[in-house]
Amino acid sequence: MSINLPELEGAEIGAALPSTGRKHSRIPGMDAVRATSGFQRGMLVAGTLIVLFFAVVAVFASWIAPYGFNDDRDGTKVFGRLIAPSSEHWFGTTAGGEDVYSRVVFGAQTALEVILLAVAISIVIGVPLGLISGYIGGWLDRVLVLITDALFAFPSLLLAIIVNIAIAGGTNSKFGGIMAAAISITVVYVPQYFRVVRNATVAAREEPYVEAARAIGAPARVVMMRYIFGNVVQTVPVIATLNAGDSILTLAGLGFLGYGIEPSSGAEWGHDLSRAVGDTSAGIWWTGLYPGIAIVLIVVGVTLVGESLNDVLNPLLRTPKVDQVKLSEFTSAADS
Amino acid sequence: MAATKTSSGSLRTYLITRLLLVIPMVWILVTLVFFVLRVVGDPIKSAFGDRLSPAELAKREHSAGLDRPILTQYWSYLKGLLQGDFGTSLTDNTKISNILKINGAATLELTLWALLVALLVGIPLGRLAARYRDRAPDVGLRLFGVLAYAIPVFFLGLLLKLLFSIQLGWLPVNGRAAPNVEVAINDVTPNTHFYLINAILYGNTSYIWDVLKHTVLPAITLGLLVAGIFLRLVRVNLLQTLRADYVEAARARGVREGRVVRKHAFRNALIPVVTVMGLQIAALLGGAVLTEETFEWQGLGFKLAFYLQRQDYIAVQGIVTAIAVSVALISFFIDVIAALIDPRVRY
Repeated sequence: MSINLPELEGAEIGAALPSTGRKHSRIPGMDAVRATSGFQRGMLVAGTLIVLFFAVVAVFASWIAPYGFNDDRDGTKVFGRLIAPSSEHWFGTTAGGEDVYSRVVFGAQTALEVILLAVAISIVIGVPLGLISGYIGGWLDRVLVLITDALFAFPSLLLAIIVNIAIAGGTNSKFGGIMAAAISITVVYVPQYFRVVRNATVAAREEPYVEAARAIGAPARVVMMRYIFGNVVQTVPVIATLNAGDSILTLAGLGFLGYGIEPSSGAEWGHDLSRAVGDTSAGIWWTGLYPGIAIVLIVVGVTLVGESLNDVLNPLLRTPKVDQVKLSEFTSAADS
Repeated sequence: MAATKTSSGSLRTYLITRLLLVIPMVWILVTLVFFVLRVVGDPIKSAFGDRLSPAELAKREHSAGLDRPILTQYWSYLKGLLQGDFGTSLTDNTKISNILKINGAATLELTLWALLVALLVGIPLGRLAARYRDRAPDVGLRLFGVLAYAIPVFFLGLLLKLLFSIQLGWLPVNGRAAPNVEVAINDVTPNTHFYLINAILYGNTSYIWDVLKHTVLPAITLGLLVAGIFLRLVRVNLLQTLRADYVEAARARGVREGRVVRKHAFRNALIPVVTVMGLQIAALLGGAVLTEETFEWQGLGFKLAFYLQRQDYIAVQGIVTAIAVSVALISFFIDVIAALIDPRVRY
């Protein structure tokens, strides 16, 4: 929500990507890496590595974590409460006597599940809605734009909270877990996909190729799916990446206020931090520090990927170097 | 003369259109919050369902008018809102309009301080980053921007508390003022509920000092969240402005780069920042909820968390609606300011 993303035209991105003139790589994302240089490439690579690291931690959480996220004992041996970090408990234990390290590791799993679900659902809802609204126009378009405008005025966290109350009924049922958190977050991000796709569609609607398609008698559905879709979805990966970072923060915010994931059904960093705020007054730092660092790291990782993709794709922000390369090509072509 | 007439005419048209858009927007927000929160069912049951007998629940529902058809309730709720009546909280029987007045002042005080921090940190740093594009200061500042965005306000607050309040003992841990100060400055007339103003009215220097000391950490915590956004914005806008033809012309005339940035590009690059500031109000108020909860700052966010825990959805509805509506109104005013300073916005 908080990232200023200049809206791009499909054509601009098309022009931006194959700037090197090389063939497209088969490895996903390789084209983007090639289009970067220097610091931008560093950001992209560092971000990708961080995200991959958390993905690995999330997938293999059960093997990596020494204990369960909700365990306060190993067999019959009780860990004890608020024990400082030691060789036995690397990150110490919480006020509830759980192993902080294990909770941080399992927290990655929760975050990844919620974020993947949330991003997927928002794309599935937002993109077609934007496509239809932009192409058909009329009162439907006006109403939807007005509603998304209203939703933009809503602090995302508050929106997520009231949707979460509506879905989970304020109680922490099983459904009030991952799925409810994901849907609450979805509501926040659908308007963004809607807006970007809708604006791109409105612009594309007037293009000659769309007119040509209509002239040969293609029905609206075909025009939208086959002709416009491919030209308006190019910004979606960037928004999705930036939103993924933002939704981790929203999830943590929900957890911090006592919403989101039920503590016994999953470890969640925001929830752990809300417990840790009370601990700080007694000078206990380990219950909050590690989940906090985990949030910061993963959001930094995702944001670095999103930012550098945005830089690569936004012609206004690209490094001048690319322009210079184009210039010399142009003059050499003119010479020969 | 004719030119000025048309330009002021288009400004008026723009302002009226923008104002007319605010009304349906506010209505959508109010309606959305009302119906989404009623999906859960009856607010009385959510708040007391586990404590009261069914007969007692029914009695309370009847007296609160919650057994009427939902549309009737919605209608009377809307009528109440127009008269500034947000209803009464269920769990502690407080008028929500009073909560909005008293705790709203606390939130506003915090938000203004945070905005000050954000502007003081974000704008100069963004300018520095654009000036030294792709060199060390830029790289460092962009990483700082990413970090400021990535760190949840409650985690930053927690770290600052650990360092400055617990370890070093320089600043207070929680609250808006020390308890004795709080009692004293709430006694002044008129009670503005802005503690700094109240403390100044009270006229005790050590009280003013105490209020300021309590403000430092929450203001920095919330301010840095938005400072990162301002930094990015100023940087991006300045970079785009630095490519404008008139800036190029200045360079061609031999104006030094530092002067080009300072005199030619910087002011124009700030205009979009004002526009986007309207959008950041939502982020700022959302962040305020978490900051208040972290520092036990008795504002709207703190109250919201309090009522959320008690599942008092009438109070939640009132506070959430008030926050959303103020975001819509504040961004309207910021758009008006943007239109006044930037002719391009007026279409």
